[in-house]
Amino acid sequence: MNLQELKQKLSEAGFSPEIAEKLDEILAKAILAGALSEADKAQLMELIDIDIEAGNLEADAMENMAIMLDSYADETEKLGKANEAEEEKIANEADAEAAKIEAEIAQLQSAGISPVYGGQQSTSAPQPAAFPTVPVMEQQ
Amino acid sequence: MENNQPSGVSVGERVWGAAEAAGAERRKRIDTTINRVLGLPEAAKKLVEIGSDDAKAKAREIEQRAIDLKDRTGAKITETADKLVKRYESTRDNVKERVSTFVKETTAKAVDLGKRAQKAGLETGLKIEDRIVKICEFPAVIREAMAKKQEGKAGSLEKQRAETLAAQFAEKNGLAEEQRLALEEFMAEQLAQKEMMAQEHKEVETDLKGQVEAARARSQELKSGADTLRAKIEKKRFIKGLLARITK
Repeated sequence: MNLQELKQKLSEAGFSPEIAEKLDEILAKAILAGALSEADKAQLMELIDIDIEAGNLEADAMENMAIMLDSYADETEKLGKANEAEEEKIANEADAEAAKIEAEIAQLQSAGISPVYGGQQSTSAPQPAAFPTVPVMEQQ
Repeated sequence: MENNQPSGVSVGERVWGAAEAAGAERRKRIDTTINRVLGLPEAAKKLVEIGSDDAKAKAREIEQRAIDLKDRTGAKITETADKLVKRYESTRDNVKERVSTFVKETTAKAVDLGKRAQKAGLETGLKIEDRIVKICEFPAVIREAMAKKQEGKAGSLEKQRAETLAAQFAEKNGLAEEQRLALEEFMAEQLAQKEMMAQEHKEVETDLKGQVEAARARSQELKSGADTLRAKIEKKRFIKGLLARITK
């Protein structure tokens, strides 16, 4: 491979802009001179090494940050689920007692004591929903 | 074998969709029960106010039980919400600390690399520190949620809906203006209590869901970015090998 071909390959390898510019400059000089000195070659090797290390550092940072974000998402999700489970337990505990109270309210209403809220004498089964209720908040 | 799967929808998406629907149904069930419990004392109170003398004693007894149930349930929900906030704050502080330490360590390595680059003749140095800081930024949704205080939100839309419902009920049942106002007041009280509780047990949860989605999306983006970078590094190593073979 000649220097011109190497220069071409280097320009296509995706080096960071600051390193790519320097590599290009050194190789252009070598092409003009017709040879690559040992010092220039060493400098090119060192610059490529630095770019590889910088790339690894960036890739490591991306992977580590991804792990931390995943872990944060997992922990946060667990919190939400645990909270919902606790709320469900509270709701279940309250449900039976609430149903009993509702039935008793409906029974008093159907006995005709509530003219304002539709408490007509009724022979049908007690209806717990004689009161208009505020609609349940929609799930976000 | 029969295939009921709609075209273009993967099994994973269908399972996820079903899980989402089941989750929403579960949430609705919890909210409905809690709202019922919160509204019970008011319903019982109305019976005390408008009931006949014979029924008042029974209505009072029902009202007291409804208040007890509401208080007990309310206290438990508040305790649960407080616990959630505390656990969230601890998780948040923990990840912030870990990311901050990681950024410090990684930028220190980047600075060292920059010095090495200058020695190798790169006058401008490397601009990698800025890229590292950018990589380690939390997504905007998470940054905002982390900084946000749990503030009350005015439920003006809900209030409007309650007033409309009261007006419709009044019209349907031929209520007098005074009765309609009493009904509106009753519904407003019920709504205020519900809003207070809803804020406690939902606001944090909603924030959490948004944060989970944002964290997962950013994580995928970073993993994909890391893969692309690693592929480029392989190319550079190959070129380094070519260069090593050049003798002059």
